[in-house]
Amino acid sequence: MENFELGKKDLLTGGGLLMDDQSASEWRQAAGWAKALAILCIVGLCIMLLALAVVFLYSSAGRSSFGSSAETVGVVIGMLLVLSFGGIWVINLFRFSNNTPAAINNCDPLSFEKGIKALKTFFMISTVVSVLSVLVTGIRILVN
Amino acid sequence: MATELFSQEDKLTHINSIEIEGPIRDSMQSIAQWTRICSISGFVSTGMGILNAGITYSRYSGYGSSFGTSVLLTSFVTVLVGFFISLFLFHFSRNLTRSLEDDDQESFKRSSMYLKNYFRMIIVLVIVSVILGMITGSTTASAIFRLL
Repeated sequence: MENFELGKKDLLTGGGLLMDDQSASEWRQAAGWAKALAILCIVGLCIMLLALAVVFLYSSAGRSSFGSSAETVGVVIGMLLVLSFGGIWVINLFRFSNNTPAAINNCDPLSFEKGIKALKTFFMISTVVSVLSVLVTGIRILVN
Repeated sequence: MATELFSQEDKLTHINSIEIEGPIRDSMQSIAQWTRICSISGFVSTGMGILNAGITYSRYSGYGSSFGTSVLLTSFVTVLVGFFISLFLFHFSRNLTRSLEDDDQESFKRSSMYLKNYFRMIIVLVIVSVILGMITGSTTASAIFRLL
């Protein structure tokens, strides 16, 4: 009986993986949490953009509290880097959170593929940032 | 002939499901590899966090027992949450790899569950960080504006 059920599944799916009801529900929920995270990150990036504007205004008015103008330029470049990488990271997270539930509900493989590719880019950026932060922390511990 | 044995419900389930094949499968394999590296990096980061907390505690314990203890407690909570995030990501990666290699539907279900828990845990971490950041940020901001 068990073999019959397994054979039945293989004939239906060609032996491959399927997005079944339970997995679909979990992916939908994951996308929901991802959307909440993306919104929080967008708010964070907006606050950072505001802080960047404040730094720029103070430095142009000659009232910078960051010391020399080189330091101010450094802060601005660093913030711009964080904003650009963070922006790409958040956009991909948002794309995943938008495409995945729609794809599952409409059974649209193309839309699901777009969502999965966005998730791949999100994890690629996360991994690079994570490895870099581990290296920086390691160097900092060794120096201290 | 064999398809006649299947119920209408089975056929509908098959029609209304996305197959994990072709480019979707390739992207998922790539996700499994990246998340494995990311989770291992997270575990290393957790270890470094413990080391860093120990160093910080030994450095600031002389400033009063309450300050040293609060530093240690904050570091411990951060490290614990970070460890669980990495653990969920590692389980997601392992189950996804297994499901793609063996076409194991159960592992695929488990990987989906771990992905959901991973994002959920990150939200908890972000909310806790925002609350802690607001508390420390308000004190720092008032000090900066006094300097300006």
